[in-house]
Amino acid sequence: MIAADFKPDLEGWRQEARKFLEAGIEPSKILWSKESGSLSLFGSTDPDMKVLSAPGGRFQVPAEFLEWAQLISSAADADRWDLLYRILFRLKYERKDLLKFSVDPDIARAELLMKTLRRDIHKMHAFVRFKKTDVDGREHYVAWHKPEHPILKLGAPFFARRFGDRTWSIFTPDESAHWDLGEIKYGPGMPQHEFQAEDAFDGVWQTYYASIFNPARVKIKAMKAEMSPQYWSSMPETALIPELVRNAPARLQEMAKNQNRQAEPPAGASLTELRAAAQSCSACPIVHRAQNLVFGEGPESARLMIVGEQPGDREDQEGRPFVGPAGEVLDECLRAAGIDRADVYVTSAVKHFKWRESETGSKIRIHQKASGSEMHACKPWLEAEIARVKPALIVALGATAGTALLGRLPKVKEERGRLFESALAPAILLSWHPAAILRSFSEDERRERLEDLKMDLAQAQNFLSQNENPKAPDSCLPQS
Amino acid sequence: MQQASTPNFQVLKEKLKILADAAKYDASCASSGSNRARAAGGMGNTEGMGICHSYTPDGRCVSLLKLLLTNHCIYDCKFCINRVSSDTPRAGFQPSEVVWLTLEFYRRNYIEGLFLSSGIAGSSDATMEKLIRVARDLRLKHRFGGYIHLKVVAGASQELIHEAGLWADRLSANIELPVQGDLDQLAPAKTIAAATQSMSQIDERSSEVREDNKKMRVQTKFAPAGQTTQMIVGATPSTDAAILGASEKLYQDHKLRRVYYSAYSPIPHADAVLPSEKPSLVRENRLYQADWLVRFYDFKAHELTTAEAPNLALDLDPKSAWALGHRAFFPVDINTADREALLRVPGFGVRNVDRLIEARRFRRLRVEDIRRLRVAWNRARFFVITADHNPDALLLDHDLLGNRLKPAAEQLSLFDLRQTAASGEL
Repeated sequence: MIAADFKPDLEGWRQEARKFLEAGIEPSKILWSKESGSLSLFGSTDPDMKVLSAPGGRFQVPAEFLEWAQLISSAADADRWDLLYRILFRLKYERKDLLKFSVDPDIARAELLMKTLRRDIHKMHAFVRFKKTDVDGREHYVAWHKPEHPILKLGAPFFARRFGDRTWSIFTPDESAHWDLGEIKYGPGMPQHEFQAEDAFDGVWQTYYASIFNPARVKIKAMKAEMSPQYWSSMPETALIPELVRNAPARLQEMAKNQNRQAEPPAGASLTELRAAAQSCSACPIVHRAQNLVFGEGPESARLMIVGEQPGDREDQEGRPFVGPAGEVLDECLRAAGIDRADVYVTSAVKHFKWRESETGSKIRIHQKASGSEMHACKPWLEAEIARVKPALIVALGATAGTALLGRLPKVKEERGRLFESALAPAILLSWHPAAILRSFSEDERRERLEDLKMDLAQAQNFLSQNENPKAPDSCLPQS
Repeated sequence: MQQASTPNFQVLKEKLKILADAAKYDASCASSGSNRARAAGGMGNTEGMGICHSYTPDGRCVSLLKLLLTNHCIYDCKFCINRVSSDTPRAGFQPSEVVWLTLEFYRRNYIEGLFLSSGIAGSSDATMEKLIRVARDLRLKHRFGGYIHLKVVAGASQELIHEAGLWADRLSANIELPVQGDLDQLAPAKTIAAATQSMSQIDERSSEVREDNKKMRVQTKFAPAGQTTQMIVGATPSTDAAILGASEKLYQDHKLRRVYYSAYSPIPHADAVLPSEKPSLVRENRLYQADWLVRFYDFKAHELTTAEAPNLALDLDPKSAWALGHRAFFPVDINTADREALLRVPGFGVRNVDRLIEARRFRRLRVEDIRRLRVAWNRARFFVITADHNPDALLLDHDLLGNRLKPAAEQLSLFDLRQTAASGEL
């Protein structure tokens, strides 16, 4: 047994290994390190393999092996020198293409080790956290990181390529790297407790980290597999992990509570049955303060459907759509367009009246606009009405009805009078809501909007008379 | 480097809470596929491989600062928390605030770069212009060389897409759902045609720039990391066959690098018409595995499902499922089979197949050799014969083989999930 005597780094090993190799000394005869002993666990030669290298011939180490040696020499494993020599010896005396024989025990071991080292370097690139400090009035960035293997020299150049415009230092327990804008200098290491740097910005990062966590998918094992707790002490965001995990069930419950409900109309129901089912709807809270359900009304055979926003005070009292002041405006415009309201199915996007008390103490119930979630809760009723009536044309009055039917918030002023394609009906036409006409800022504006609505309804009538198709084809309808 | 005056941390944190939370439903997290050297006097580079700088307790990688510029949106897509009819709190960043956050996060090595998307508050082009302004300022004013992924908002004009690609490493236009009928139900203002038009414009511009670069000394970069898209899974009844077919077509027609699948998850204020049970993460995982087979294992999408079973098996990975349905194809002789056949063996990955092909030039391979490569031998052993005649291959015709291939414990499937969620690899 020969004990190798060398400086334990790549260059020291190279010189020693070259000596042994030239002398033809077999790997099992050399003791490379006390810890590893003669741990040549693996048989050195594969008996079945055809030997291609003629011993004694001129031998050149493959370039790829030098890359392997550089990486493996940085491993913390005691058997690394032994492994490298074994491979080197076999490259010379067995086959020079041995590195490609991945199923060989030595090669498989080397590849596994290199995979571990590459991963360690990668994790250093990922998990180093710089803190901004001030050194003599100059920005300087510092970090403390503990790699699994002593790979600082392999990992540090990445940071010079990336952050070359500022000076920085990275400390590990065993050594440190310092970038001075020109080159990386290496120095002694530092234990973590001596590394003291605060960066107020870490709080912003923590806020971000907490906000992107999705409590619906807690997978702690997966997180730990990729971000081993051994690195956590130098990563500011990891301080939040216990709390995020602890609060996840409560947050999920909260999410479930907030989850907007939606009405569930009975499938295949007639209009009468739908109306009856809607009487007991409780998908949103406004139902409790309204006196009456205001469902759509009109013949199932209607080719024109008109959709408003939500019922007002009068509609609520009577339980019928468009019977108040806005209804009068609508009736006037329908007449002007030559449309008989009795032929039209009239409904609204929200089926109950939402209101608040008057601040002056009067008995007048003040109209309130339904919230987004309330509109959503109610939408299936509208979809069910459309599926039943199958109108050839839907006129949406105002932005709320427009949003429900177009899937986006339209600009009524710019988009009214246009025919939109839709899966709900062959065409959708947008116009002013009669209430918006009543609430006009000036008499001029009121008159203008009124004329617009008359014109748009006339266009609707025109569309219906030009399109012979009595009803929407089935393929256009929602599946509800 | 020009440094804007330091914004108020507290205000910034409040906006971050809303706009990072709102952005997390976009599954795309990769920071790979781009090579960009650091500019003189600037900060940041990309070196091909992406880096996950952190992981959240949901097991997901944190690679990019993922934000919405604003979560105000005029669209009413039912699967989206930012839809106009949602009561979620709203906020908006100034482009300069996003620039500042990106630089400060990057400088501390928290991130690889920026992923920026937005709700559409005004017009599509006005929104797209703001996204572009952030990227342009990062590149030109701050000489930032880190990774930038910009969302191409629905309906953005061609000119803006062309400019976005000058500053971004990667662009993505979301298809959202596999077929128009699904969009009609859940996002009636969106069309497949508009999304694929954006994809075509990205792809065509990319080719033009590549051609121009052949003639020019000064090289132009146009979205060097290519384009991706995202599909929401489980919000509509569309089958896996429809989803995989749609993906395959997107890969073919627009040279996408990646289709992301996002299992519809119970987001706060979600529209209750959507399935409310726990999101099908397993299904999402199976789709990623199937997608991977199509891109790297020479499978055609239609091979992975059948007319009778248009959805992928949940209890079995798609390659094992295919193998069980095609037992006549096996056993495959690892010492003689061609690469295509080896790639079809359950448990064999691309790298291991290539290693086997190298290694069998040395001598005939035995069972112990394959095991040393750390292939998933518990699955592969039923489908291969070796120099020492693997006895498990005799079970190939056994009725209960399927049971032997299913993961024994929940633990294993969770492990699979993580692997695939991170990389898409089997």
